[in-house]
Amino acid sequence: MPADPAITVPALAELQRAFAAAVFARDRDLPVPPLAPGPVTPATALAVHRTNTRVGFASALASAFPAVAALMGRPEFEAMAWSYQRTRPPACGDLFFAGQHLPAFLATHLAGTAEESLAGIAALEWQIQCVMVAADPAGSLDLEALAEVPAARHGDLCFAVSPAAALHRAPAGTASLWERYRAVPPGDGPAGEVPAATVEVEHLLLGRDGGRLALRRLTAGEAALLSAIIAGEPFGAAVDAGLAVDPDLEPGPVLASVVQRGIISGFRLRD
Amino acid sequence: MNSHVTAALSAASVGIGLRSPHHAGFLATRPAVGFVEVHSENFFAAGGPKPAFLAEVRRDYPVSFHGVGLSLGGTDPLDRHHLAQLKALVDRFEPVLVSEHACWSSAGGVHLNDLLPLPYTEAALGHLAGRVRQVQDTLGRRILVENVSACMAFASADLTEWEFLAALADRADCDLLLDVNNVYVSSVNLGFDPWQYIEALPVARVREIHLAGYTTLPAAEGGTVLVDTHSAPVADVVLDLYARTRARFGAVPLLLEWDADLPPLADLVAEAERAVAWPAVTAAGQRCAG
Repeated sequence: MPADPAITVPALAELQRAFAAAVFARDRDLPVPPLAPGPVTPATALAVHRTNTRVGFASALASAFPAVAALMGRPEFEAMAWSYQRTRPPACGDLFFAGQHLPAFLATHLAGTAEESLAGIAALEWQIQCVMVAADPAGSLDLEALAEVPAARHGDLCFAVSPAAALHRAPAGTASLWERYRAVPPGDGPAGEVPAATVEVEHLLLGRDGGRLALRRLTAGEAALLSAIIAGEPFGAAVDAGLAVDPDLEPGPVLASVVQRGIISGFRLRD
Repeated sequence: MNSHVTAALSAASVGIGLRSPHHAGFLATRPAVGFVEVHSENFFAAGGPKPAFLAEVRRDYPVSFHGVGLSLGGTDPLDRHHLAQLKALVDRFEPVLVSEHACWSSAGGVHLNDLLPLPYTEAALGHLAGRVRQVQDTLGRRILVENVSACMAFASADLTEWEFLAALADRADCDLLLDVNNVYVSSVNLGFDPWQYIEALPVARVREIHLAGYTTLPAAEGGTVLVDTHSAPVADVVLDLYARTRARFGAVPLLLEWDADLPPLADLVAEAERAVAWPAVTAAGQRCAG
């Protein structure tokens, strides 16, 4: 007579939790649930699944954080990935989210070390991933309709921004490092020197252009202007925000530039 | 429940697993393959280049969605967000096949990114069949469930793996994806006859076959263990088993998987063609002329 699943499924859950704990255990002797005798010993079976778990995760992480992987080198990156995986194990089966907490983990893990600025690169790489999977704009900007808005109402323009557009604030030099190392395959050691951490910042505008990442460096004033636009502020208020940071800011060319890049996907006039 | 294997996918179709390093080359060369299979999770993106790529492929090729992250046999609650994303993907691209694995991948809220074998018990069977039905009800279509490779079997098992899968197909009213390489790998690691396994599966339920390459690794205590790495050509012994399988199941769509140490796209296509042309083996162990 088969066992009642309602009675024995808790045992299945306990078996799975015990095996998962053994895979993630730092103590290599943590017992695994009883296995049937066979050609492969329980220790080897556990080692195989620990390797599967570790390597698959590290590989996904390296694909998503190529510059961090190159600057660390493969051995250090894989060791870091295993430590991160055990500290913040994935909660879902979509590996896209594997790196969601990596910037924060590195900020803690590397604080006070010579590699501290890798956390900033990781934060940029995570933001890039989010940009690359964000929804496509619902429509495109009607330039003729925009041109018909009287100049007196320009300050009331509220723009719809592409979901794939994001402003990113990073330690100065982060974008250059990313550009230099993003396509360098991780080697047996660091591909280059990690610069010292800095309190200086740079402002970046990330978006997509024809399926590829579009990255533009911004002045602090441009960033303030665009931040307000993205937040839904009317153009007049956004201009004020930009000028408060940079009195020499020229809002017109900034707006024209983001329109040209497809960052603005629509508009409405504030009532 | 109706199967969604449409006329676009013939039973004799031969396909390849399409991975991101080959995306651009695939669109540029449009190789003559019968269908392509992608990992569902890699296309959960709301927008951007991935769905755009898939739409372009889908225009010219039948596409199969192969999931690796649903943890069908897991005892954590079924991930409804994951399932909703899968449904959105299926509704948008209308794949010819949708498949997942007879395994568990998560426990206690933690995902292992691995395909772990279940203990083949009545309880696990009832649990898995219920979850497969839940997925099928959500998607509104029958799915294929694939056998995973194993290097361990839980002592609590009271069914063989092949009994388990045959019963699963019946109870869940699902189809099966038979990975011949996985059967071979498990047979060596666990010590059973791979043909006994394959012969026990219901012919009408096997709607796709997978082939891949394995790696032989040294075991810590001596000896070796076979690991389903998808990183090498299909072993001759697996092709022999496939040829025998083909004779039993007739024409079933064949898919070559290759995920690590990828060869050039043309070589991948050639490997799939090599597999389908592999001659049958006689009872005396000799290969028949192709």
